[in-house]
Amino acid sequence: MSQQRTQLSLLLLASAFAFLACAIDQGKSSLSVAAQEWDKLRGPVVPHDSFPADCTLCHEGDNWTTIRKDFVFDHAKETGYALVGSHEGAECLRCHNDRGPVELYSVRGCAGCHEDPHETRMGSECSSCHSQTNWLVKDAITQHARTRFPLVGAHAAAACFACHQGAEVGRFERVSTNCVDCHQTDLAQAVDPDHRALGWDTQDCSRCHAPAGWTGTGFKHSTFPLTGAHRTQDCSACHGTPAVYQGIPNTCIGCHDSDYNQTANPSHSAAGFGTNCQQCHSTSGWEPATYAHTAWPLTGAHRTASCNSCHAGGVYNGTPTNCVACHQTDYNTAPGHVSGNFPTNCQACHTTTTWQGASFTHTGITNGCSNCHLPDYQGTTNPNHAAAGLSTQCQQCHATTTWNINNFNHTGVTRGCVVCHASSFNPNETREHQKPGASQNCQWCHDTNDWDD
Amino acid sequence: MKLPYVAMVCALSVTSAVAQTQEVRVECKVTQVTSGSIYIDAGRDQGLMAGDRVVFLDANGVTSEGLVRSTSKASARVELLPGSPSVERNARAEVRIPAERAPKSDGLPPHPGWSQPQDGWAADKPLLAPVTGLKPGDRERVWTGRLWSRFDTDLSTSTDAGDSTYNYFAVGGDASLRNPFGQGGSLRIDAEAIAKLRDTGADNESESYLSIDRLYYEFGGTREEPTRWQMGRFYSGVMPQLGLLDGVEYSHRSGGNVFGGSLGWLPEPTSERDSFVDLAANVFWKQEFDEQRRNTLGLALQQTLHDGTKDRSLILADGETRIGEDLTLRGSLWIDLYDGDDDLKDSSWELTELRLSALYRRSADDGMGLSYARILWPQLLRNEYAPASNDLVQNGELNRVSAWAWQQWNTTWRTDERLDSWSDQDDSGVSWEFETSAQDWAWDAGRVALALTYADGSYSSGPGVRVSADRQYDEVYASVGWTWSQYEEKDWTEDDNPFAQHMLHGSVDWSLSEAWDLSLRADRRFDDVVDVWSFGAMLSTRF
Repeated sequence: MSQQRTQLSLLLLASAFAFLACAIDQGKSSLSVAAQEWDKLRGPVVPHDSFPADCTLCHEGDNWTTIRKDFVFDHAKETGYALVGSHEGAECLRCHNDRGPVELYSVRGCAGCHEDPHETRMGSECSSCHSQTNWLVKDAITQHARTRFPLVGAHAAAACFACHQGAEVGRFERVSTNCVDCHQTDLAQAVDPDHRALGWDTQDCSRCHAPAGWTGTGFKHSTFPLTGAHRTQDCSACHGTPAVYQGIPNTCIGCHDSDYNQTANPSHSAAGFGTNCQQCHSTSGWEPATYAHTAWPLTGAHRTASCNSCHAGGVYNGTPTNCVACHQTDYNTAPGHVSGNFPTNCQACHTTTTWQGASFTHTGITNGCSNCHLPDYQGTTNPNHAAAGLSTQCQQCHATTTWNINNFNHTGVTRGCVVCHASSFNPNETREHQKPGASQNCQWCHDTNDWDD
Repeated sequence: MKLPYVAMVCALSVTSAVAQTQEVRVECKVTQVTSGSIYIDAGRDQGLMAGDRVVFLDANGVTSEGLVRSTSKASARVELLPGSPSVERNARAEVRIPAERAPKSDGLPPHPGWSQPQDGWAADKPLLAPVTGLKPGDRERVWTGRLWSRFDTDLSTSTDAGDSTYNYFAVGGDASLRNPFGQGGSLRIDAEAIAKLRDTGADNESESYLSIDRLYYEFGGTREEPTRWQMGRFYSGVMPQLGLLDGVEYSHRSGGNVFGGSLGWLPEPTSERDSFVDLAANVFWKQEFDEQRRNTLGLALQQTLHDGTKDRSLILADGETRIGEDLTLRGSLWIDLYDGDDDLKDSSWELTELRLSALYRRSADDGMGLSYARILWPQLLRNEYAPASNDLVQNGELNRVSAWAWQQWNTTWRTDERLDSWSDQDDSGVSWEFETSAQDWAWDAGRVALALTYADGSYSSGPGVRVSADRQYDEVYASVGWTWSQYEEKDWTEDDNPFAQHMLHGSVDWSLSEAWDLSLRADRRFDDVVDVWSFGAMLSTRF
């Protein structure tokens, strides 16, 4: 019924406008005055004392009410005040009238002639909001972006008076930006969940709702951001049925306790895993889980190793962190490690990237080589160190940079030369060496300073 | 070889002499000088035509030159050539015109002496009858004003609220009837009949009503009558801050003073304008310190009763001063007085509102402005503002500072800058805007503009870009624009943040005739949540 009444009102309004407009148009010759024309009904209300003395500039014929057809007055050029929009076609007398010299009013800007329904609160430049052609407001949303409440989402589609109670009469000031001050009705109608019953009517709506939209993407769960799989869950998944919104824990385990207990691979509870699920899991999906393993960072080959490699039997507590605890077999079977009595701090030579390619930094090591290199000493056949009774002080002959000897210090060596120089005792090389019974006591003929002497 | 040369020189000399003898000199005098034109007391009757060259001679022998732009029977409008010195009123001038244009004697005898003596006229005075304007009370009754019809419709699709349609239709008028009672006053009316329909699918709402914004009779306040009366529904002619009043106002101008008072009811600031609940009594005084009213100071007191209960006690003040020709300073303040009944206010008075502004126009091409506003929530019984919580009335405070500047670099390029900052009891923010525009650059009689913006509000903030273009086609003014903003919700922790907002705009203002105008517009606003198509039309006529 109300809608029918409104439609009838619309029809009446349209008819009234059409009737009045036609009446005005028909009676225009007697009622209206075209822009910049004179009207005998009004008389010469504008003082002419500053006008050019030649009346024919404006008037023609035998009366004062007929203005020349070709009369043109360039207002901008002659007065320095351009007439814009509707002002361009307005009658001169709308401004130049009984009130007095128009310059007294024009210096006050728009308010000099126009009533100010904004009661001076919107500034003095009407044209910053209104079109001078039809007085309609332009770029309202753009201008609103300069305030503390840019119009986004549904607000950009709302009528001004939905928030500004007096918008239709030019009053825009003192609107609260507290959501509930405008959304009281929405609050009252929010029954799923029942906001009032839950005591949410005294709280800031923006805790849950975004200005862009009230529901869907506009809903935020600020105390526990709904990301990943949580976004698609029904509220009751966490809040139960009937829904309980107060006192819901915001920890993962608060809702996922059964998941924790039922997980068998690995059994979280048996392994004594912590209950801060987000250490391994994300909200995007329960799997894959990524454990940061911060207590013992997994690098190199450890990253791809199965958990059981170290946590045999699903035992996660008490797992040692030293290499050899897991790599004892590797140590035992590695050539020379046991026999060489190699230390068990594997990382001294090995990296986690690969077991091969061990590298040992000899920096600072000046003795005790045989602790590691005894197998090298014993296995060396050229010369056979053991047979020759060479010293196990490897550093006497060898350097840590390379095992090959470049410059052997013979000081103190007085015999046994052939042990090292057997290859040099070539019976075919010299006649002396060809002689039967030639001695292999090199020092008899050679000295350590020059082999050829 | 010399003969042809001599013959040619002779021929040129003769031609020149003939040409000179075919010109006549018209002597005249400057009668009026305006900012762009000079008027001389010779016109068509003296043979002048547009394009004739005019030489001005001042008393010191300095000459200036100009061109006749238009002529009347006995006068002509002249514009100085670039670089010519300015010309004083009464300066002599002369124009050389072809002899055939020189006026022929009509052979009429001179006009005999006037037989009707003019009071106060003497032989040494010009023969001009005094122009006596009609007194306001002598004028005939005549309507002037504007009538309009407006229709707007919004078609919304929202992920929140589904589809909805909103229609707004209004027929209104703003008219004045001069001298309706033979007293020289005028009757003014500004009213609108409005119908609204909202259809959300699940719910339909509609309403229609008549909104009377102004309806009053005004008498006096002119150069003829220093006392002014207003009766009906009106804004104060002296201090509009007192608000719309259903009642009567008296004011009197005496020298540089305007003083008066008013009594009536304050209609509520809603479209229905419900009235007769809040009774107000006002007194005001305004001092104009100079004849040009460049410096003014106003003061007003208002006391209201809401349903018979004492409500608002208000002190109002405003002032304006101009320093030189370039700088204008304005200010208004509202001070509310409170007593024991106002339990939400601690002090006996409070500066509820303060507005200051400065505008500096360095030249016709550039300038800058600065404004400050401080706004508190007064404790009122009256339904003056949107409902506010007690906390807001007690602690609410909004401060705004805005600065803007503009530069017209040349006839084409212009830049506009703006900075707006705000702070309230909870938060603060700074928004800015930089726009550059070009006039007649991409096309004639048109403008293109590009603006970069940043908005910073209580709940959302983000940058934006605005592109717009307009053009004047004879009687049609067309404009289009696109605005993009990338908003980010403050304190937002969910996914899908930020989000983009787009606004497309197109409009046409068409001057159908001298009296009729038609405006059409189409807008689209859309983002992740809503998509709104909006159309509007307005037809208006002046009479």
